[in-house]
Amino acid sequence: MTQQDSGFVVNPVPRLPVCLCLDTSYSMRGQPIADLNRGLEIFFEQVLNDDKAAQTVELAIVTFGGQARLVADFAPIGSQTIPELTVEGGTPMGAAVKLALDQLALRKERYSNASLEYYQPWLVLMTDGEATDPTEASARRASQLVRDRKLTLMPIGIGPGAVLDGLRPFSPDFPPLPLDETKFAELFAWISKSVAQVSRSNPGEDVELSVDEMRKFLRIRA
Amino acid sequence: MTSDSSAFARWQVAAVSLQGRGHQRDGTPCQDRLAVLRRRGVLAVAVADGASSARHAELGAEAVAAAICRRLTGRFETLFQADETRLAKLLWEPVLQALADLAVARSAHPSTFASTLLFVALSGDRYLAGNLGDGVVGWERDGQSETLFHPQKGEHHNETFFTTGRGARQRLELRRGSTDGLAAFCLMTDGAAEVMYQRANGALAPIFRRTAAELDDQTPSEVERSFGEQLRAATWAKTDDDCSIAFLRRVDLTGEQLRARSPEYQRAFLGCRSPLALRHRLHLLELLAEDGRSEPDLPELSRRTGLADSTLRSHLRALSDLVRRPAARAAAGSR
Repeated sequence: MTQQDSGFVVNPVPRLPVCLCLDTSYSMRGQPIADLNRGLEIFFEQVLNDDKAAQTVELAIVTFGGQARLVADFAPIGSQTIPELTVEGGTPMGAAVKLALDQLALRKERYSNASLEYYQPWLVLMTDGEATDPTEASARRASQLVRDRKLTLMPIGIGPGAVLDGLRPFSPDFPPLPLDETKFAELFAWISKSVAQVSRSNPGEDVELSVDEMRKFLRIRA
Repeated sequence: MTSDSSAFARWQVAAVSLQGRGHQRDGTPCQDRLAVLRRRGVLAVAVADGASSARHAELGAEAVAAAICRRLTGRFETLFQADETRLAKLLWEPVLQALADLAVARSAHPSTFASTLLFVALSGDRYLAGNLGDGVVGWERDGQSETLFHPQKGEHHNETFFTTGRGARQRLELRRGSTDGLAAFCLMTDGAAEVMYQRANGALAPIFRRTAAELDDQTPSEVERSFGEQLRAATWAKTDDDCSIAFLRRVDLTGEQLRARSPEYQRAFLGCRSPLALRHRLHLLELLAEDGRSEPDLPELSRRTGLADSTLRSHLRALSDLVRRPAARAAAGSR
């Protein structure tokens, strides 16, 4: 007997849009891009291993290497294939964040049109260097969304060359995290765990991200 | 024997509260609370859903549900007549007081007692209902189910409004009016709404009317047991949240019909536990039906029942929310 037969109703699961905005510029060549690709695999595996997160999380991936590119549009993770990221050109982070925010806004519009509820979207921004294009407008837009509690933005600087000051304007609340470049796996495991926590949250519940877990992948031990 | 042309109507209540899987995992208590109070001819039912992030949410939920029921039963007439601003103020005073008292008693910030709040009060042929937060209140009117209060949500799924929030009183939605054509109400927290309320069109699940109608023939305990099992099965894979729901059903019975029911049903209908109290109340109903006056003749009732004045008054108080219809479908009058 289905729920409808039994007199109950079936509502669609609320969605959690997560956009990974990833630096694939030439400076990421070699081990960093290999580790980033491995990190993505871990993220997919861990989200898929959690029933609730797998139903809830919808992932999009924007890369910035030479140009900003949407390499995976929003969809449930179970229906996506893991892209193989390659390096190219400079670091147009401003354009990439603009593209990511545009995609998030579009996705929210589609949810609303389909009467689907959604959680506060996530944007994970990762770079190993300094932007090669203007970032002010994107940073202003992102930080306003964060201040209005309409976006969770996680800025991550990869390795010792990361210019954390360049990430700071994007995120008024959450300071940029200096990632140990050998710890992509731990970072993505933490992100997947955190989005799984959000997917389980109920009204009135603020999800606290685990600082202890975070220390496992930070370059500077907090 | 009670005349068959005399009928009695009483709102019966069945309520179910289930601890969510999230709280089972954490070993934390269910944070939903239900309150039911029959007093001074008024039935009040309240449901409060404690905010997951609030440390003492279940205490806050319990306190505000009890406080609003006391206010609704204590001052129904004043509330029903008050203009909208005064109505909201009168309803919110005891809620704020309950939260302030808790904050002092627990040496904690009032926000740690946050919850949503839903309520319905019925007196004679009038109702008063309210909602703050993401719960749902619905009714059955003229054979159709309708949603009276939809969930109040923020933009995001895990955002709603609580008793301790800024502007809570202004967000409190209120409705009042006649119960003409009304057969049932339901009040539910967002956890129960997951399977009882269709988010896309705001409609209530068909099982609402079916379950409420079961109160015509079954005791509230029987309905609660059976519906509780169904709700647990339906929500198991759907939500980690606590689930609570209260059904209110107007049950109309003639004296003959009431006599034909099981003693358990009679006791539940008349709100008494002992066989002796049941016998007295059934006898009183017969006499009230014969009398037909809107106000009972106490000396006469005392003489005919042999009950002491205080016992008689106690029984009459317990039956005060019973609506008596002197003749079939005649205008209802509350006692």
